[in-house]
This record gives sequence, C-alpha cells and structure tokens, in this order.
Amino acid sequence: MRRCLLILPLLLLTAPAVAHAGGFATTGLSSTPDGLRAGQPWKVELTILQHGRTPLSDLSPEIVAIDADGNRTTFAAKPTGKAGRYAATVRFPKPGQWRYVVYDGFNNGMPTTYPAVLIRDTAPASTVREPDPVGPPGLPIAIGGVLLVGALGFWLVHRRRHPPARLA
Amino acid sequence: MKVVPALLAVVALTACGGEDKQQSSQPAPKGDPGLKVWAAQGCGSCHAFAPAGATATIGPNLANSLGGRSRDYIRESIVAPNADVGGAGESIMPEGFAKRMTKAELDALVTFIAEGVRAR
Repeated sequence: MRRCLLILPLLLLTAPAVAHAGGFATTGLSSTPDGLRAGQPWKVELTILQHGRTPLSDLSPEIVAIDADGNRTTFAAKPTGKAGRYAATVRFPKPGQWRYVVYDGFNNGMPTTYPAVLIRDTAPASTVREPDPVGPPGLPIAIGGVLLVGALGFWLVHRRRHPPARLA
Repeated sequence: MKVVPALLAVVALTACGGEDKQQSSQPAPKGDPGLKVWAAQGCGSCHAFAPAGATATIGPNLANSLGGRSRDYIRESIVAPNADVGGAGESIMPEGFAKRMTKAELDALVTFIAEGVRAR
C-alpha cells in the first residue's frame, strides 16, 4: 500500500506526457518574419491542429527566437477566441541571423522549426522619409511659377511708367 | 527695379524648398512564396526538409521520399497522400490537404519542394 502511494504521484505527474505521447499537432503561421528590422514587431497568428485536422484550444504555445550566439527569447502566444488560433507578437531585438522555433503547447517535444532569418538593422534616421513641411513636391514649383510671372509683369509695368533715359 | 532681383530670389528659394527627401532604404526582401505556404500549412510540423529548416520526424524526410520524383508526383503526394502508400498502411497526412490552399499556393508549394529536392 505504501508503495502504491509512492507511485501514484509519479503516475499523476507523467499522465499528461503519456496522454500526448504519439499525438502530434501541426502549427501553421500566418506570416514569416522575412524582411523585418530589429525591434520591429512581427505579429503572427498560429493555427494549431491535432493530427493536422482538429483545432486545439486551451494550449499555451510559444515562439522562441534564438540569436547567432544561441541566446533564446520566448514570446507567448495568446488565444484569439477562434478555435485553434493563437496570436503572438515577436520582436527580434538586434540585427543579424536568427532562428525561431514554435512550441505548440500540445507536444513540446516536437517543436516546429523554420529556416534562419536575417533581421536587418534599424533604419538610419536619414533614410526615413519625413513629411514635407512645404507640401507636395509640385506645389513649390507652381508657387514659383506664379511669382515669376508676377515679377515679370511688375517689371514690365515699372519699365513702361519709367522708361530708361535715352542717350543723347 | 531692386524689387525684381528680390522676387526672383524668392522664386528660386521657393522652388528648391520642396526637395524630396527620398528614402534610400531598399524594399524589404520577400520570402519564397512556397516557403510561406509551407509555414502557413504547418508542413514543418511533420516533415524534415532542409530548405525549410524543418527537422520534424513524424512524416518522411522529403529529401528522401521525394528526391528525384517529378513535379506531378510531388503534387499528387500533397493532393492525395494515400495514392502511393506502400503496403496496407494509410498515410497520416490528412486527405484533402490541398483543398486548404488555392491553386497558386499549391503551385508555389510544389515548386518550393521540387526545387528543394531537385526533382527531375
């Protein structure tokens, strides 16, 4: 009886693992992080289907980003309210080559892996398109044209009223 | 008369004021459309396939099972995974898998896999 009491907690601890043993789920991603810059959010939705068929709810999936040195950053995915759908926002904090892995929360012993992705440096300030304080590019040219015509007209009127003195 | 050069100077300055601060950054590189379909359909949860960075072991490694096969065979493997299962077994890959994607997406996925396994 005492042995049974000792084994029982062990059985309870291993029960979830046994329940998932042999089971698998597919994880689909709504997008991939191609072309992202460091710190830029990658908003992705995960679709998790048991045996590729049945949406799985009540899971706690995670996306793990791994840098070139092997440092791991974990991003939890939250249920969206739709069966089998989870949403996560991932930020690769620095530029360089990153790998990412998805743990579906159903059978974390078999994560889904993806090809490495190159995260670009943040955009330099000089390369960012700033709002034009003057307005659209065509507007200054139009204003310039109007002013030019006005200046010529003013000059012609001024010349007619005050003709240059003739040389003797 | 002194007004004219002043006006002309204003005109010149105004015309230069709208210089476009054009961005110098290149457009974001776009990933392989087939890889996007691969990721969207969760193929890497079951199959190992080096071009997709996938290492799963539930289904066959595609480099082994599809290497040297034709594009048509690869397409059939997705559309009807039980069509060429040896013995009396049944593929664990869901039937009708291809119905989850558009024809263009299926084409992109077939191309991605075919190029990855260097199909004939």
